[in-house]
Formats: sequence, structure tokens, C-alpha cells
Amino acid sequence: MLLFDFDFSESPYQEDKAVKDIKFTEKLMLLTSFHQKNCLYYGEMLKAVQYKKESISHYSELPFLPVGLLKRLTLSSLPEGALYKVASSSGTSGTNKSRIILDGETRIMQQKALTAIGGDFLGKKRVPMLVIDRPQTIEYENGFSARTAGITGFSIFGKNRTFALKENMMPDYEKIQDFLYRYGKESFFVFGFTFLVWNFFEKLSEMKEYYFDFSNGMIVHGGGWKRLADKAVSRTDFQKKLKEIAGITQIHDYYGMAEQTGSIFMECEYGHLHCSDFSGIMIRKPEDFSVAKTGEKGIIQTMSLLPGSYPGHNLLTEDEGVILGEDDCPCQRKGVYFQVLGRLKQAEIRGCSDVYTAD
Amino acid sequence: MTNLEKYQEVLKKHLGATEEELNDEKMVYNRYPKWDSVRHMSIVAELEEKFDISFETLDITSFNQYSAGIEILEKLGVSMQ
Repeated sequence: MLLFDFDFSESPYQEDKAVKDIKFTEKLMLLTSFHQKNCLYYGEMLKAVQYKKESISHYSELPFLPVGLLKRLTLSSLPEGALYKVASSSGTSGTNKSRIILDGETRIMQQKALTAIGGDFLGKKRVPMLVIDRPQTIEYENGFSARTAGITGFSIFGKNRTFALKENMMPDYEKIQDFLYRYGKESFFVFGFTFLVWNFFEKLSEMKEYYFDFSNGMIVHGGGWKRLADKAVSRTDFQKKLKEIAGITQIHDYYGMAEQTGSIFMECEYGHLHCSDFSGIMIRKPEDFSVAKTGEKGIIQTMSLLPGSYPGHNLLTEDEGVILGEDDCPCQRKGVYFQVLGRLKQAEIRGCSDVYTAD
Repeated sequence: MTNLEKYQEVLKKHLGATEEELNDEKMVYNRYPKWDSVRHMSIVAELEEKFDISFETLDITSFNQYSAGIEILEKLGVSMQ
């Protein structure tokens, strides 16, 4: 079910607060009503919180689901018999994984939104791409994981795609040397999950007799800092080390989740994560779920206009963050910008009911 | 082999399509059973190599059915007559 017709050829960072408040509220309400009608569970949950669309004047007042709920229930808004695929989250909280129901149209929307967002940083011209992962990750037998989705989604920006790791997850030094020899003199693109990127450059730095020159490379990495936080590696350490080891200065983190693939939050050259016109963000206070002010820490809530086949458009995450500003980032992109501070201390949020309202 | 035939060969190879399926009714991205995003990128990579061309990102997302592929190849200077 295609709910919106976006112009994906435009920059996805155009809406300022005045426009966004109206347009985003309108669209998110439409999605809420759509899923209320088409997903039985979701409809029941909205009934339980006595959702009335008449009382909504801003998107911050719309009901949201804790992301953990998608790990316990498989929610679908598709008609019976419709074709779909199941994507799974990486399952950072133990063995629980979300099962996300995706129809063809939602998958296309995800890819187009990702192309528009990533294109704003990487440009329209595709450049050689080095993937910090092993080729087996995108093979089907291994399931459709967050890593498969990330690599495939970002592959649109690259050509001559080369996998830097061997099946045993060790760097393929010869292949990397060959890649840098062929393409390293002009701009190229490096993509990988944060912890894999870190491990990769640590390994390269152990090869004292070689220097791997990545100075023309732009790195995009995502998937979270949790595993690096365990090793006490901060964002500053990460950037410093990559520069030291391989001369990399262009590094963009992104924040996103399998539950809202496509509408990722990219980090700009000033180190701020940005909402696009496809997404929204709120910070809520842990004690009463009220909206936190700019600069106040709290739980991150993410909204996306892309989920048409499952009610994952408005989710309370298990991450802590802080909004830094809106519309006035020096990078010129409009919209809210923020910072992720890490996972919440208690592993998963469990409320007295599984749906929270804003009021 | 004409360029059109080369294009068709690539679709057949990556998607396991038959001659009869090479039309806009059957060959639709994300609807034809095997034509998903992973195989899509392999098809693009092989077309780029075969014809020594370079898709722009928007070409990749607008390549959504059989005829769209032909149009894009023509736009990129490959004669498909």
C-alpha cells in the first residue's frame, strides 16, 4: 500500500520547523490511522490508550510503541495472501530479534529514501566501494539481517564493490592493497558496521610494514557503539585512530534500526545526527515519558514515514539521546539534529502496558 | 549478439527468467520472485561491466521493470535498436 508519493530526487533536508510540524503531523496521522485499520493488534492497542485522532494537533502527541514490542510480536498491516519478506534486527538485547514484515512497496520506499539521504552526503556519482564485511554476509542462506540490509542499501552508492574481509572475518590484505592501488588515488567509499570498521583498522595498524592509504576515502558506518563502548572506545577515539592509522578524515556515523530501515539519521560534517524529511525524533523523560526540552537527556523516540506494511512508524527506542537543535546546524541542513548517548541502563523498557501515549 | 540480447542474457542469468517472462508484466522489481535488492545490485554491476557504463544512483532506483532497463541503457549511450 503506497500512502505517500515523495519526490526522491530532491534533497531530503528541506523542511524547516514550520513546514515539518504541519506536513509531518499530517502524514504520521495518516499512517497511524492506516495501521489502526489494517493491523488488528495495533488497532487494539490504540483502543486501549483511547487514541482519538481529533485530539491530535502535533506529531509529538501521537501514540508510539516500544521497539521491544516488535521483538515479541510480528505485526503486519498487509492483506491476507500478500507477498512479503521478513527482515530481522541484529538483536542486541539478548536473543530477541524483531521480525519485520516488508512488502515490495515498503522495500522500494526504504531504498529510495536511503538513496536520497545518503546521496546528500555521497553525491549522485557512484565511486568504488570497499565493504568492511565478508561476501558471505549478503548470501541468502545466512538470512536477511541488518548487516545484509545495510550493505545492500548502501551498495547503490558504490561500484566495483569489494569485500575487505575473508570468510573468517580477517582482513584480506592483498585484496585491500589491490583496491587501494586501483582506486585509492581518487575518491572512494568505505562502508561497514561500526565495530567491524574498528576491528578492521586495528588489524591494519598491526601490519607495521605496510601503510594503507585511505585518505581519499569517505567512511559511512552504523549499527551502534555498544560493542565499542564495552571496549571503552569513544567517538573521538574512533576518529582519531582512523586518522592515525589510515589518514581518514571523512567519517560519517549513522543511527538507524532494522525496525525503521531506510529513514536513517546521518551524521553531518559537524558531528550531528540529522533527521530527514522522512523521519522525526523526540526525546522523552524516562520518569513520565513527557517530552524533554532541547539539551535535556532522555529516551529516543523515532518516527518514520516509510513503514507501510507494518506499524513501525512511531517507536520508542532503548537508546538514550539528546536533541541539540533544529534548523540551525552549520551544515545548512534543515530539521532536528541530535546526539545518541548510548543504550539505556535497564536493558529493555517495560511499561505497565505496551503502548504509551504522549499526554 | 545484439546489445538487447546481452541485456536479456544478464536478466536470465541473475533471475533465472525465461524468454517468455522478459516483459513489463512479469519482470517487475521486487515483484518478480527473484528480483530483490541483492540481485538488483548484481545485475547493475554486470551491465556496467558488459557495456562499460556507469549507472547513477537514480538510474539504479528507476530501473524497476524490464523496459526501464532498456531506457536507462539507451540514456547511457548503449544502442538498443
